[in-house]
Amino acid sequence: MAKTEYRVIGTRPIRPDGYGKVTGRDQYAADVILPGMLYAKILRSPHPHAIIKKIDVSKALAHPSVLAVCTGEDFPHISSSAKIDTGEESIDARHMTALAMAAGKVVYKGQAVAAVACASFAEAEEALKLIEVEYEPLPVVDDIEAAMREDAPLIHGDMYTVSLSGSGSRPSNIASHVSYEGGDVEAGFAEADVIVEREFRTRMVHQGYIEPQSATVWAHPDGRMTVWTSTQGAWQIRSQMATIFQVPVGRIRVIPMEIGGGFGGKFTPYVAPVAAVLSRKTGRPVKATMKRSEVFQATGPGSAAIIRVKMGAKKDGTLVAAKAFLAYDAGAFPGSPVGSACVIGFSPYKIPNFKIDGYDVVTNHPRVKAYRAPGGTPVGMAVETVIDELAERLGMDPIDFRMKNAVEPGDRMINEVQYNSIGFKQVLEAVKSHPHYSAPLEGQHVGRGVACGFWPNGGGTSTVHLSFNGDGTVNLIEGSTDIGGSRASMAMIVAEELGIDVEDVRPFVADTDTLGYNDGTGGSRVTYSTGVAVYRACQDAIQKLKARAAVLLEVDEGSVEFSDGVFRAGGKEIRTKEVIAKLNKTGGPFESVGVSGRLGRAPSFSASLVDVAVDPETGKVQIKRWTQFQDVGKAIHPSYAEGQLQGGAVQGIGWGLSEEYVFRDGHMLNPSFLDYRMPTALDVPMIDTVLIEVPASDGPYGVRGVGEASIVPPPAALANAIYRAVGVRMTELPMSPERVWRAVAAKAAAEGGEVAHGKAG
Amino acid sequence: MKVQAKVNGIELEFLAEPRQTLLEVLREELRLTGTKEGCSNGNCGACTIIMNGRPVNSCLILAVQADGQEIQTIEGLASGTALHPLQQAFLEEAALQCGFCTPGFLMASKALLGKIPEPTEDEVRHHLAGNLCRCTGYDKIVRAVMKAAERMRAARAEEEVSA
Amino acid sequence: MARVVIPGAMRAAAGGQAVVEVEGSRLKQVIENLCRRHPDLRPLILDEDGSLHHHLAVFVDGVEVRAGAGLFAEVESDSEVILAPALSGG
Repeated sequence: MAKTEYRVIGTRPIRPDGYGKVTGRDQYAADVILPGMLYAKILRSPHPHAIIKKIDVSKALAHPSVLAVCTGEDFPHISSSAKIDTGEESIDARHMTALAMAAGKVVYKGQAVAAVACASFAEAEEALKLIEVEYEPLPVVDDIEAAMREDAPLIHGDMYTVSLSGSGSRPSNIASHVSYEGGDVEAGFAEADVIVEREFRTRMVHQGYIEPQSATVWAHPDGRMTVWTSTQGAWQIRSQMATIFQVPVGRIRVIPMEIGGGFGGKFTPYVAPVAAVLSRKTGRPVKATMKRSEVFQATGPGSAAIIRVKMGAKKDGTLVAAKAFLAYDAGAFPGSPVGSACVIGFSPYKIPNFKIDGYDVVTNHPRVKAYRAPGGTPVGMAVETVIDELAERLGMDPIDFRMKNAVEPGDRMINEVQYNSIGFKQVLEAVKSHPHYSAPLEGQHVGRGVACGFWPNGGGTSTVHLSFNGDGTVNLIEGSTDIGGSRASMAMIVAEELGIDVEDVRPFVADTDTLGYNDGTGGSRVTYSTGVAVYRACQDAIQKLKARAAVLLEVDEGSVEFSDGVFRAGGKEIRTKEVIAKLNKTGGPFESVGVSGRLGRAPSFSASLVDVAVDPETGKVQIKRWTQFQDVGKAIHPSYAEGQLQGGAVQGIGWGLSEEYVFRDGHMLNPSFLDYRMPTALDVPMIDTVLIEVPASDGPYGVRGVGEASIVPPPAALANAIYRAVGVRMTELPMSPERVWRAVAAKAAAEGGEVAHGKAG
Repeated sequence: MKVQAKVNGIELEFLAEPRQTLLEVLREELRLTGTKEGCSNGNCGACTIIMNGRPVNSCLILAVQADGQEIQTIEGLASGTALHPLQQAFLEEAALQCGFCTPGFLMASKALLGKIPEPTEDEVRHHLAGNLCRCTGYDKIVRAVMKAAERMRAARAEEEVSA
Repeated sequence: MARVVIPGAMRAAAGGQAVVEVEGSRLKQVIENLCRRHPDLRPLILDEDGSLHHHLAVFVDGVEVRAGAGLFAEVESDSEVILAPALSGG
């Protein structure tokens, strides 16, 4: 793994599944069409918080178009509060079922209450009108502060605040409290020459995957069921379905279709359980696909947050203390990423004295899910703008300030976990030496901002198989759903290790019946963990191929050497492809298996550098130039590594400037792409990328996880740029035109002057 | 109702209910599932097809409105197994990650290049603003469209020379 | 003897200590020995059914083990075991 020159790694071949994607041939979940298939439509609660007094499905059942009806009564009652690891988080099994369908009570608007199956989607939509539900509305808890008040209406009467020191004594909407302490934070602040303290508010956002959730389920007479679905984790869907239906996992086969985006939001079966109930009742396959408004209101968005940060530094720039309060909105059931957020925000810096408190708070909003570096973007906004302000007050360059406090290998995170090989300083150096950093900035109301980010990246377990064809090609069977082009990278590893052409490697994503266990595609783990599994499978294959080469070369097995795709012994040689093609002659077929697990971390640091022009009359922020930096360890396929940086940056831009759930009394007012404003091609410039390669401690080629760190810094970088453009420190996300305009106007009023005129740029 | 339309160069006759969108009929009746549904109300462009040379959101067109019209979907972009320069450029430039928005972008881009054969970056972004992508950040998509435009320009120039 | 790092919120239950040296070749043994020495830690570390509390992350030599081998994770004589609040991913 010490080589730095590779034949295939680092090149840019066309991805093997590319042809299917550009011709529309590849099958996504909603493309599944099966004989006798029925369509499900789900009736959803119009109330954010209510008791279900009565559901009358008799008229629907009697209607000739309705073949089956489903309510919460059709799901097994789960009494224990056993937590299930979904691969991304752990969730109470009862809550998992409630996310599929409510029973007794609804806790967010849009929660599923009943469903029908008909021969067409139109008939199903009509049939829903025949179901009568009687609700008793309850008081709505619509925001974090309201939820945390002592006298707040309780969403779950049996929920007590859990912390590492025990459980609270009174029921609460605060599901858990995490805390981190080190040194003596008050003594630390006493040493500070400059202190900055600010409060931030960020709004709920959605992952915004363009493909709505969809699943088709076919229950078989023998008690098994097959699920075709859009998911990041087939094995995770399998275990959750097994929990919901209280059956052994082997009874459920999950076939992951091509997936139209996930970003953390497709690890939960939102519609598959309902389709399963309806399929069991009818014996036919049932397809359930969400409409976009259902995706917004009834899947798992990213948390809103209230964050207070106080940081202090000495006049030479050394950070001495940090204190923070983080409260994250979990939605209707516990499980926001506040625990991660506490760690992520401060991870890049050495801080000797700290006290960080995080609160997971339930509200009558859809239950949140992971959204790319979960928890990281809001806390990144807070910490990276406070850091920017500290540097400014000390008259220090923002990169120099960070460099002074940057963590290095061997340093510890606030949870005491030690950094192995990391590249934060290298990222900072890359930013400072980049032409963008010192390019002249011309025009009125323009500013440049920088911010950094971090993601520890996951490890987990992957299983892969290699099998070999009579034409010398290799099949790679893996279990990681391909959401970013990972199939290509995995094929490239096989090509590199075996010394064959990447076109001779054919990767497939298998299902839960045809391959051993795999953790999900997420947490920035695939390139790393599946990469390790692929690498190990290749080493196994090389050993076995050596024996076969020996037969063909007519030498002793022990004398065969392998390098660069050639087996050599006794002055003779033979290429890998030929050995593979002749397996049946030298002893018959074999397979190689690779498994990865128990891997050390391969964390990533990132940075966003942005130039903006702000129109003070409208508050509109125009992005003039963007450069995104990240330590990727080793870019297996640079185009797809760049794609992760660019995609994460633009999601961060949306989070920073325009995306938010607008709630009134628990109702989302903007559940469509028209009013939930994601960036279009017109909103962003080219996103230049810089891939820094500091090899990770473990893993082939020094590769790191790559998908998530890019979404953490963009809002803070934009805020820091806006400050330099118009002199206002933004503390709310998104920094919509209205909010920016108000901040500019308030500043002008405070200074007794008029709002500056003139076009930006 | 009976609808007659030329779909990907082939004259077709199919049945559609008055309430059905063209998107639904393409996918469910004609089994052309390459065109995708992302939002059902014309805000994401995943359902973009070309009707009489213009890009349209098929989720906003009733199937019966396609009567007598000429329609091209993603399935008709390649010539047999020969990829269109846009498809080839998207692959080379890695202008897709999950691929869900890709058919819509390809059709919108084809319509754009039919109208403006050598667009500037701004023109590309402007004309593709109705197509949402969540994975790529648009950078590589814009580059791919410009690359395809350049190749098509060069191919036309070569044809003119040899003509 | 493995070094077990105790997070701030649990130190009171560990007699005020930030680090405790504990024997054991599997995490299960290490936790058992730790809880025997500091019984107040038991309900904070283990659920009623004896599995690791879902609010806890456990790192053995930098690797988070709860999602993998969990209590059966191997522990070397010079290993560092860090107890910390749980994290998540996307």
